Amino acid sequence: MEDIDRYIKDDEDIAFEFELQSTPTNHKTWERYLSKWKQQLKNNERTFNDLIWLYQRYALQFREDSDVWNEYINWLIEEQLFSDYHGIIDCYDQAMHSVKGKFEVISIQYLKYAIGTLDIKVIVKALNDTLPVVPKQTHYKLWNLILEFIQSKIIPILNDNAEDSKSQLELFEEIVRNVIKHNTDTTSTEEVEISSNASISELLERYLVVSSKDNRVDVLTMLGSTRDWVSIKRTFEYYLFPSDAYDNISSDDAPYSLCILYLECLHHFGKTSEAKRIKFSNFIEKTYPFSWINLRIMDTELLLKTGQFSQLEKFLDDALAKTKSVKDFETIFALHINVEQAIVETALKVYETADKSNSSYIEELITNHMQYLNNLTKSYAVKLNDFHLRKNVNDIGVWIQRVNIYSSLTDKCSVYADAILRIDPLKVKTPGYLGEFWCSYARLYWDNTDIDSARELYEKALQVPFPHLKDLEVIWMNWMEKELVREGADRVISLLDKALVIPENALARLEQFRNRRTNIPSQSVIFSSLKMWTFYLDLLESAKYSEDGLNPKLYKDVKHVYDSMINLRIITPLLFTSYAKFAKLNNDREKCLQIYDRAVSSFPPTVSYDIWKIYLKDVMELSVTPEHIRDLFDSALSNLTPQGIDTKEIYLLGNTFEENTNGITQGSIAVLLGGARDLKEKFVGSKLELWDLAIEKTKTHFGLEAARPLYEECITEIPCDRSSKYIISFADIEVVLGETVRAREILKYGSTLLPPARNDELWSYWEMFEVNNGDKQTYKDMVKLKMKLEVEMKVDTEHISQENGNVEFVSSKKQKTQTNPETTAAESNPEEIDLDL
Amino acid sequence: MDLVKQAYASSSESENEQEEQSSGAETLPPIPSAVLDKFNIAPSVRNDSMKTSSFRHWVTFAYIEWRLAQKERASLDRLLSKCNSTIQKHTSQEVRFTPTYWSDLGSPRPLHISLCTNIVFKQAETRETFFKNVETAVEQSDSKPFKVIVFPRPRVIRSLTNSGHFFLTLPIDTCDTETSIAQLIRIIRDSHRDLDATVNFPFDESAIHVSIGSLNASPESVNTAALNEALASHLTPEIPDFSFKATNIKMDRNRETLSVRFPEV
Repeated sequence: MEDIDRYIKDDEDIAFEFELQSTPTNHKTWERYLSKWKQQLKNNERTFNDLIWLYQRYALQFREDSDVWNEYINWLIEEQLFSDYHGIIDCYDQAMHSVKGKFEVISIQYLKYAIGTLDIKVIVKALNDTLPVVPKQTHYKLWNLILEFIQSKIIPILNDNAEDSKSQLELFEEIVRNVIKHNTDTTSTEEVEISSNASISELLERYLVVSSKDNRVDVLTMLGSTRDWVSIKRTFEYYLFPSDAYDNISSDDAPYSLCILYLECLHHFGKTSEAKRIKFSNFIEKTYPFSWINLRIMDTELLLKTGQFSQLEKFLDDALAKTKSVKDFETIFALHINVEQAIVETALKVYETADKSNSSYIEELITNHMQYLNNLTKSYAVKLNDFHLRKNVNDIGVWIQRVNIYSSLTDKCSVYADAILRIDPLKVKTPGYLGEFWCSYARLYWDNTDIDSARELYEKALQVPFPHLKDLEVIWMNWMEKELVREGADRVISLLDKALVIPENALARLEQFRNRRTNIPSQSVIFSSLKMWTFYLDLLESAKYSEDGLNPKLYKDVKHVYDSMINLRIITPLLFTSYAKFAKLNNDREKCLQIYDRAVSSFPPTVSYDIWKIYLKDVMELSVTPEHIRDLFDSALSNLTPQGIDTKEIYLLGNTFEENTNGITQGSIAVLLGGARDLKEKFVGSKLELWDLAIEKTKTHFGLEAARPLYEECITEIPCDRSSKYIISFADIEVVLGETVRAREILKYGSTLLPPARNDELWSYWEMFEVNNGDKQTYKDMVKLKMKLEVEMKVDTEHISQENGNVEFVSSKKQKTQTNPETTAAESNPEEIDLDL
Repeated sequence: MDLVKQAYASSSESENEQEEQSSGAETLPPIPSAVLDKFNIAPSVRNDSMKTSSFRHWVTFAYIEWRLAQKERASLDRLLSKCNSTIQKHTSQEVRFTPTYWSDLGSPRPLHISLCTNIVFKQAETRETFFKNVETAVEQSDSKPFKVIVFPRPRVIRSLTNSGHFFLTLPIDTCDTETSIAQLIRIIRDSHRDLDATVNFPFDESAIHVSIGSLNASPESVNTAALNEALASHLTPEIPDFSFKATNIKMDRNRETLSVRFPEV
């Protein structure tokens, strides 16, 4: 106060001083006094020091009043009177020691200011100063400020600095660089790096003490970001994993992210926590099965960090061998590549600058891992194939891919052998695949002239209990094709003789195999392979054709093959006819007829029709009596025609046969007429063709008059819309015969079969007919008839559509009325007057 | 015939063309015995479901396998041919032995030295116990791979189970291998002695041999003494002794063959 004279400048100041002397606790006076000085400050009549002097007097006067301190400090902050934040902090410190009660506002202001400084020590001090003085129920406000600060300011910085932001390769390179440096630099210490974010972690640890359980996960996550591993280990073990027995911990109590954080923390403690880390890693894998990949990556990092490079190879190979999805496989493989690349590249960089006299460690590292990296890149296809085989070892396609990966025959053989030992023939789904696989293996030997080994493999393949016949067929055929080229047909025939031995109970065994009632290997029914029988046949028949003249033994052998196929019921219609033709070629007429008889009775009418055609053609060339042939024709027609088969060809064949036997007679024409009459209505084309032929042959060979009955029958039998041609033709005949009246009557009849609009041809003909042969009256009658028929035979489609059961075209009518309403209205009332009102 | 060859040209030929060109003169490895052993016996094609009896036997048979080289098969072919011609020339018997080292389909087949007759077990589990017993006994014994010498001195014997079946056999060296083979026979016998197993007839240890040919004929039409007399008197094989290294015991189990290796020294 001794300096008071320095600050009192006018009477008004003296008046205020007197007033304050008398009433020092009057806030109004202080406020007016300060206000006056602030005005003078603006007018440059005072300095900031003057105001500070007065504010300090005010604050000291009301030292226990937080509002006064607040106003004072806020003014200081506002005016930015201190070059750094320590002056304000000192003021807050002074205030916190002076104020009594009502700490809440100033405490919050203090902490907010401290946080604003971003100085952790200041923040911690502010928190320490404020927490004890505010009521407990207000603590959360202070902690919220702290947590918000950590969340918004600290965590982003920590995360930016964290290793996650680097690529995996960069991270590995950094780890490897540190390890190499450590291993080559004898002066480095062995201390594990401990993070320096201790103050933040300390704050969070303190908060955890008072926070509710609901906030715990968030706070522990924040704590994890500090990378203060000592604090993390201590806190996690206190709150989440109090013991090494993890069995009772659920995924709700320990979220995946926190588990991984804790595991990472244990990694940082190296060997001291190894047992715990392994146990905890197993717990994570069990609780979170999806974590498998992440755990492998973390373990890899640990092996790198601890310099256990030599163990990485086995560790990652084992991991790759346990992958269950392509994604996992690709991830682990990329990880392995990154590891090897990081080691090699980092070691090379270090080697360039290292002391060469002391670089054997690095040289060894480079040599070994260059080799690993090289092997790894080459083995990608094999390892991927391993993965696919792990998923399904019985997938032949994958094995074939594996064979193709290797270029040397030795390697290929080794894959085949491995496959055969591992594949279960009963679990290969696609018929023929495994058989073909065995053949590929045998072909390797055959094509490299190791014929004995190839044959041994083929024979072993034939002993595999394939569930599908196709596999055995493939092997037999493949082997025999090879033998055919090398040894000739006799060797193959001897193999076929052994393969196609028919057992006593052949049909029963086949039935049992087809029904799959028991697990029967396909070897038990190999005798039923049509493919092998036809191959056998081809070999025998080709041998026959190559010789001059017929060979009775060969004929017997071929017959045996065909008969076997017939007895086994595997013969096809084509083979039946081939057999019959073969018998015919060998002049065995009786056998030929027997075969055909058996063939036509063995198949349904649709199939046997084709056999009958060949049969009847062939039988006409054999020395068989006409009666027998006629019987065969009758038999064919009686079996086929009632079954709805278009047997026109057989009628034509019959006609040809009769003509060839007796010439063109009424009998031969009767065959054609039989077909025209008996064929079903749906075969109109065939019926007309037969009528045409019958009429034509009759006209040519028996005269026009003989054709009359045929025409009369024909025009009544055939459909009306196809009749015009026959009516005109019939009328023509009558004209030629001079019977114009009959011709006119025929035309009259024909005209009534169709409406005139659809019968133009007939009406044109009739008109010309009347012009040439009629008179005015007949022409007039014709025209009258036409007009009459036009009226009578008009088809009223609208009327028909409205009849019961028919579809009426309603919508089109409606559309018509809607599209042109004006016209409709006009048509409905043509006299309507348009009034302009 | 060319037409047939064309019609049935192997699809594999074109596929392997490139492979052949690139492979050059690379020698292929022998087929692993594991592959050959896996499906050593063809599946039974008997119609079991048609049988009234549901009783099944679990049979096995132990032997030493002799996988012949191509040259050895050629030598045996010559020997067998000489045997057949000697028999035809010097006896009145119309018999002809067929080789056992070629299968019916013309592929090579290994020969064997029997160590027992067929052993029949009533239960599959008992047979498995037998296999384990053999394995353990071999492991604990001082058996090691040994050389077997086969003399080209053929002799005809009659089958003990089928009087119409005859074998052309070659004796094996009894000086060098007697101990080893006798030991193996003993191991086999001891391994099933205490098990529920039967053998149809006792195994004749004194006549250990390799069968190289077989013959099916009516029992009366073959006089083995005369055949052996003719072979002993008139056959001059003029081929050196055969030899191979025995490294394991083989035992049949259903369609596959188990292999018990002798411990290497």
